[in-house]
Amino acid sequence: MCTIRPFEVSDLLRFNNVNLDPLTETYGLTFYMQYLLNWPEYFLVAEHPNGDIMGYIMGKAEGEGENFHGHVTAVSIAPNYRRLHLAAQLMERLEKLSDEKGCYYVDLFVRVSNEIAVKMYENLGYSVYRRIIDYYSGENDEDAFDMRKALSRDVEKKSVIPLKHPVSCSELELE
Amino acid sequence: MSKSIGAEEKVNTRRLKPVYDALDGAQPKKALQEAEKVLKKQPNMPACRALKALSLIRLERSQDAFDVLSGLEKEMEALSFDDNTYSAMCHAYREAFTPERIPRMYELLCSRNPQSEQYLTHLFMSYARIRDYKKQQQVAMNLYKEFQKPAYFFWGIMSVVMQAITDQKLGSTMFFPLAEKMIEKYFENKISGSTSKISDVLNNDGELKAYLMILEGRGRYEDIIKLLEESNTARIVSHVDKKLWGTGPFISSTAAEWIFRRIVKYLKILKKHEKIHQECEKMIKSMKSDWFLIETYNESLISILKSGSEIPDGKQSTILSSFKSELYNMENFNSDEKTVSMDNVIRTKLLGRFELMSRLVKEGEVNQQELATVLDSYLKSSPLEHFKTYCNYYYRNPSCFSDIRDYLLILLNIDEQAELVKHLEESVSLQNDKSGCASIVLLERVKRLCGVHFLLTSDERWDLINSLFSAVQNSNDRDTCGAALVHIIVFLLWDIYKLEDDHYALYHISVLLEFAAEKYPGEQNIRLLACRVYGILGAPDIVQSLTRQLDVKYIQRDTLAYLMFPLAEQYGSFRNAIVYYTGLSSMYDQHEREIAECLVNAYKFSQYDQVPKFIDLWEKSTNSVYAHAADTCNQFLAPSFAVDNIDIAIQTLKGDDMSIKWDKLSDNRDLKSVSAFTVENDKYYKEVDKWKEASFVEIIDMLKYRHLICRCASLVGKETITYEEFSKQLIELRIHQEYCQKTYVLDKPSKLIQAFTPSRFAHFMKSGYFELLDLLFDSSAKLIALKDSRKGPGEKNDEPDEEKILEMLPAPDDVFNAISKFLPKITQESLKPLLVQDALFDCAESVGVIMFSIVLIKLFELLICHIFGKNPVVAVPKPNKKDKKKKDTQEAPKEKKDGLVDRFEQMKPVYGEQLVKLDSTLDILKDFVMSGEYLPIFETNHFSQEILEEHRKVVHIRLRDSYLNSINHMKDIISRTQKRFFTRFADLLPGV
Repeated sequence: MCTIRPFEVSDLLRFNNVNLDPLTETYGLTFYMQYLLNWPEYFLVAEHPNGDIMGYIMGKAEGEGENFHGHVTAVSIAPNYRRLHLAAQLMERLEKLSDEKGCYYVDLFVRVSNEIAVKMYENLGYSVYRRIIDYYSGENDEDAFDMRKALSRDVEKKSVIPLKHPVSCSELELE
Repeated sequence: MSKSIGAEEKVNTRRLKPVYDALDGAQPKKALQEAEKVLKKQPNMPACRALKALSLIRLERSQDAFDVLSGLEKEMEALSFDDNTYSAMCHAYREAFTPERIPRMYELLCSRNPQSEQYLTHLFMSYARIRDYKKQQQVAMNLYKEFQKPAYFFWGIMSVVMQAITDQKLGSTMFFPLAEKMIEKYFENKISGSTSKISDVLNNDGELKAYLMILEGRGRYEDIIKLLEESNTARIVSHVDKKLWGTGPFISSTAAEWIFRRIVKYLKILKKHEKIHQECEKMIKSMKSDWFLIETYNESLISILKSGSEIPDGKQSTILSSFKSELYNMENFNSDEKTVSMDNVIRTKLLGRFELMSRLVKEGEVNQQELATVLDSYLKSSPLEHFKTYCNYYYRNPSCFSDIRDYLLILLNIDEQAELVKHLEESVSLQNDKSGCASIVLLERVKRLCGVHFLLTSDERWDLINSLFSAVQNSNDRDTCGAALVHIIVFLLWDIYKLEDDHYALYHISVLLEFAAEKYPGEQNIRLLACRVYGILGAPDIVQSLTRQLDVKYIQRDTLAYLMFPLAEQYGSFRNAIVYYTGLSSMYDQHEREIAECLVNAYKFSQYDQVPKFIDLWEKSTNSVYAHAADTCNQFLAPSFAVDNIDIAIQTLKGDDMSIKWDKLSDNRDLKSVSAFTVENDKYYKEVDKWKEASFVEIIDMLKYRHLICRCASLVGKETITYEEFSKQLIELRIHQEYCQKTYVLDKPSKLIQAFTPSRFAHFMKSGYFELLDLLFDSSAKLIALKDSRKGPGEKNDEPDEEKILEMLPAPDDVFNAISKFLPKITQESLKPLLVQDALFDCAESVGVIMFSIVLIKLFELLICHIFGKNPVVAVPKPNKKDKKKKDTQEAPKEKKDGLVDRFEQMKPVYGEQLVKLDSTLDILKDFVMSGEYLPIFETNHFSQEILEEHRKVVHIRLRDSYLNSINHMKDIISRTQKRFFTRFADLLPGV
């Protein structure tokens, strides 16, 4: 039970309850504002009846031809509002929008160690498409899973046939 | 000819490549070296000079950069440069935070190339960056006139809209009507035979939203609704590819929702509640668990009933009878939903009912008894049963309490509240909670909300703490319920601290939090609570380390600045404070630049509805109280602790020339959204709001006071200072000081858990610090008046009367007495465990003021130089042995010659003696800390001592280290000051 509405730039001033979570990255202002400018329809926030921000999703649509896809850049729910299937609701919104836009699939990156998230995405119909070596940099570099879910336009589900070998970040950049 | 130009360009491009590469690779030093290499071959090459300026800015050598840029600007008046040069200059101005210099450049270029679309668009963007809406408008309309692109017209329109938003009065009478006239004329020209509707001629949703802003500004809500209902409007806001969906009336899911909410917004303004009600009923079955819908539905229902109208489909028109039917109606919510779980259906239904019932009670339409009767007769239920049901279903959800919190006290009387508590207690014992401790968490939260925790006796409170701690120990480490229980224990201990002023409870809390931080490493609320406790205990180092662990960055550094501000300086960690303030200051500069660039992109990408929102964020960030706090506190601290040159000290004290709009400062503190803190009742949060408001005003008053003393001090060192200028500033300071003295009387920091790091301005005001500063500023005023009375340069002046100056200078005894008044009187006996921070606070405040007063005395010396037109004291040679003999025989004239020197010499023992006292006090503190007595013996029958022993040791070590760092830092400052303060007229300041 919540109101899902477009993310407003002023929400940045009060999203600490979500972003203080250690697995949620806080980015520079430009990052959020560019998403608001380029893909405002992909940036949604869930608000509790009491006014708290419960969580948000930010994403985009990109790629050419059969690679045109929706991408989940970040989805995060405040600890106090977990177990309400809110992330699933937000993902569903993004998928529906991507479907309406004519995307072939939706993809996302997740830390390989984040088992809870990987499991949640699997439950939502995502599967590991490939592994990306050292995608996350920091004290300890970590690999990412690139997980995908085919949309209605990809009738043969070609977009989600997993790659056999992991890829490096430089290969990713070439795409 | 053209071939040779092409060849030259190629050579330049090749030569500049290493410079560009170095800049792109974030190597400004290398870029500068590469630029210098090129300039050796081509000293005048403009693009290279501009890149050199950019490199210099990135190396923080702004002055050198501006010399280069000014040279280029001058040449530009006669010469034309290539576009790379202009682009690099533009970058340099932006990165140097001087975007106001960019329009000048493009104005010149546009006057030379009036037909250049490129330069005109650059000019528009340069005005957009500095929010000069009027100039923006002119340029945009020129662009539109010349090139007829719709985007330019909408740039112009938005420039008018922004003028309307900025100036509300003229907005309604002039700017919105103007925008309306402009846009309607534009549409008139666009609409032709085949296109008859406005939505047909709109190119994108940006244009639509710009038009909506104008219609809203003109109050034309009916027209807005009409426009929103047009099928093409849905297409425009659907964000889908036309090619994919053809020209049919496709509406994306987000677009449908957006349009619905917009229409409802305007229907509310028009008070068309019946229509809203109908619209909601249509939507209710297709939108899942949408709270906006339920809230709007309930709101419209009550508005209809209040107005005495009939509900559209002929339902009853009395509140209660309607309520009955609406309750049934709610049964239908989500009935068509296949994808929504049963859980969600019940949740929606119950919360919808709670919302409706509490709205009815809050608006005085029914009372609790009437509600109970209705529910009983129609549903064979009661509000209490509803709450029981909700808790039974959802106690495992962390949000269960947050969901019902706002309704519980409204809908249940005291007896029912007690019954709910009893029900939850029974559930706890029944479930024995295999799922962790969720039901205990819910029970205790409800008890706290209903006030049960506040009725406990001391023993009962400790019993509860013990039993909760046992539950924590039994909980799963990955279970957030355990951490939630820790929060409740913290609140219970905090009650003891608050009610009994028992600092021992804080000790318990800190040990418990260390334990919890280890057990639940991902629980950030634990760290936030720890920030509060260690803040009270006066340990800035620990809080700093905690904020690092919290990974507070970017915008969070503004909204969570209260965690750290102004802790470091309050407890004598001055160098850390300066580093912290400097970092904070750069962050705000960076944000200003980033927002300006995104604002420009909002125009470029036709996202016009983001324009006012980005500007609002820009204002909130630029006017954030902490943005000004960082600057002002550095102005106050840096001359004493970080600057080693008197000219830079004066410049620092002066700050930038921009006047601060104190009434426009923004309070961006995010205090409420931390879930751990949201378990109290509304009365408590009203108190928090009150504190927030009061503490905001207090911070501003403190900053204003600091700002004014810094300004006055900078004027003392200004060579061309006049009495009029100084006295004006001094009067402003005195008026504000008088107001502060009257306002800030009680130094009693709030014990609300949200009341992080109070500024304790009252402590400053009542401790007599300002008396020392008053004394010095009084002398300054007299000396400046004397300087004023002297003739200008080139005219003959009499030798200044030293006796007169001596009278004007502060008497050493007065300075001594003024310092004595505030020096902390601390003895070994007066120090108590858990209260070291008070002594540390007193010492730090004294060090801060003493060091500032020393800077002022240095400025006196400079002022006297200005009066004499030279350095009189250095000019007077030190008496040698021969002179000494002579002095014995000819005392009178020598006395006169050495008067000024003596006066400054006499200050040395004054400060020396007081600093020694302060140093001894710090030694006493240090011994106390080293002895370990700063914390009491941790004897507890309450917590398991064995389990917490390790964590008790951690608290001991962390506090000891932070205290010692603060003490040693202050001792170091004192020692350096004693060595260097009286380097006469040298340009060295004391604390460096």
